[in-house]
Amino acid sequence: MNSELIIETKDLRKSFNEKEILKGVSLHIPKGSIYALLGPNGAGKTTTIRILTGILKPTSGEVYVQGVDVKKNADEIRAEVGILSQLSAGYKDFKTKDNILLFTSIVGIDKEEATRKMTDYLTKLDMLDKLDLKFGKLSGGEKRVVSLVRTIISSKELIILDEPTTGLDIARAKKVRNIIHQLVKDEGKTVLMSSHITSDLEALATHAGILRAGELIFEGTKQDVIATFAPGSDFETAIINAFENVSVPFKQNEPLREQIREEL
Amino acid sequence: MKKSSQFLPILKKDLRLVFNVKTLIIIVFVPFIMMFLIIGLPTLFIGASNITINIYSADVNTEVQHVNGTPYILNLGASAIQSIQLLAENSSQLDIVVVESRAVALESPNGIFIPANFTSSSILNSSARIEYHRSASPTSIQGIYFDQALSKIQETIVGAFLFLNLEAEIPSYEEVEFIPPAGEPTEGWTQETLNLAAPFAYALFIMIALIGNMGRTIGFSKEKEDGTFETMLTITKNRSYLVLSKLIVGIIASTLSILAYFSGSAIAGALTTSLFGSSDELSGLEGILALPMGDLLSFKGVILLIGLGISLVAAMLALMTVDTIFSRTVAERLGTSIVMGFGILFYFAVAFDPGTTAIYAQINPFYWIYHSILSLIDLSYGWIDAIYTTLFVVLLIGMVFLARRAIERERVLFS
Repeated sequence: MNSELIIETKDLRKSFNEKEILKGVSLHIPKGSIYALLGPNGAGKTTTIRILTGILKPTSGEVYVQGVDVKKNADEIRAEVGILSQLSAGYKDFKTKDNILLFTSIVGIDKEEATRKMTDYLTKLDMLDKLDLKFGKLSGGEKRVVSLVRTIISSKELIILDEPTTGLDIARAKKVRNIIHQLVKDEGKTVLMSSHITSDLEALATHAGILRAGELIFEGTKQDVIATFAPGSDFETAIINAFENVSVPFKQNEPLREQIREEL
Repeated sequence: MKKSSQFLPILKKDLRLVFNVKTLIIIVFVPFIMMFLIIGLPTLFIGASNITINIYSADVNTEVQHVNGTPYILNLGASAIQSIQLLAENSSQLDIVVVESRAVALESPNGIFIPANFTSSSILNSSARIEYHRSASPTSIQGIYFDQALSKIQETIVGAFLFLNLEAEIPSYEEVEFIPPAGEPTEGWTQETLNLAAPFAYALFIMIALIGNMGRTIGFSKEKEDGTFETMLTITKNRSYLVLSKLIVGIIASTLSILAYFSGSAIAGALTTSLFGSSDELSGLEGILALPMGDLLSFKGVILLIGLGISLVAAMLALMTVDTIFSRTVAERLGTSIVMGFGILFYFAVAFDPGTTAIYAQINPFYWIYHSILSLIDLSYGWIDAIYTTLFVVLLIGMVFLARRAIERERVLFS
């Protein structure tokens, strides 16, 4: 595996009940990037993320995360990667702070450090006053924030965010984007993000991989996506084109993939 | 971080999930109040009604010798009846009717038959046996009166030995057999073991019934619903911890639930006693101790407790395995149905014939442990018990394997 990549998959395939969900996906996610995994609904994004985090086993192919062969040693990668799933998970009867500190204690983060970071992030996201409120009493957006803060604190090098700003108001979503940006810039973390919210993608993504019907139809930098799918236009248009209109033979992407490798 | 250091936080989390006010109400308060209201209070009404015991003694006058050589004519059967009648005179709820035949006594709801050789056998052989038929529940006031009547018979024998100054030859409890006419036993256990079978089966069934309704509390259903299950899967290095932690918490919760159940019954029984001014010896707790748990530190007590404990683990594992394999809605219904279904079928099979070897009993895992435990107590553990035990162990291992495999596979996430 390339040491400059934090995630690398080779010909990743996954089938459920004989239906092939992933059809040979080969991802190359550089360290220190914000990689947007894009695709229309049902393209295979969540399945890919679940395989990367060791929740699911691939039917075939290779998966390396932080240099670990996930197929063979999924245990090693668990508790190393912070993952925010689509659902804002939390124990309804536990207080906000307990919902965060419980998970950080399981992944082995020192309680003092976790408390300090929790206070810091909740202050930034205007939720410090909800610290002692039960998770079940929070609004949908507030639950999302709690899940996000928990994920960020629990993560080591890699954070995987599935729809991180869903349900957040505009102001809070912007604050979340700032935090994600800082995590990469100041702490050197890598973020793999799946989102349909174009403002998030526009503001954050440095690289993108586009899935369609279980196939990776494109992988490159954000500029590459625009250049390929909507030259002279914006990222949103390029994504829409990629999802719906433009058919790009996979081999056409090879020069771009080579370019990424060269950059690394 | 080390895998093992993850276990304690997971266990702590599961303990917190169960031990909150809402679930404690379900686990502790409901069984307590259920027993207090549904079982205990009707005891007040049942307790208010009388119990009639029909007694027939075929015992004959027998000449026995005092230790100093003086001969005496004794009829312990007649003495026992007098003693029981005296007990009845002091109680407004106990009626004694002396009937004319063994059949009338044993065919009545509550009857005692004292055989012809009762005195001679008691004094000369230091052993005796009587037969009885009791329909009153052992935990009811009537059942306790019945037990007191049986005790009076034992007291009569002891009194005779003391009268004859033959203290050293007083038969032990085991040597005075009380035989309920349960029909010809189909099992090779001793009568003493068969006497333990019914209360053991009852305790086992009650435990299964209490656990059967705890699926949602101790399983993964709620975590699936809240989305925390997927999060736990992403951060837990050893997924067996997820199952093990739930199992430990489930055992603690079930034990509390069972204790609450018995406490409710005991307090209701004690209340009944105090309201009706019965003897101080009569209490709900005494009724509970009619179950074979009176002497927990004895060989039998320990083995019976082990049997209950293993059955508890099996019932919980069944719930958790179903809970892990199927979706939340299916699991909640199916898990409870499976555990309760097997529990009811088991109790139905052994309630009428504790020594049954019916096929429909033999295919029930609860019967396997029931049979193995009783054979162990009976010191007659044989190859059939070895098969039952093996099947049970294989079942336990299989359930752990299935639960873990279901977690490892995607079914748990996509079902």
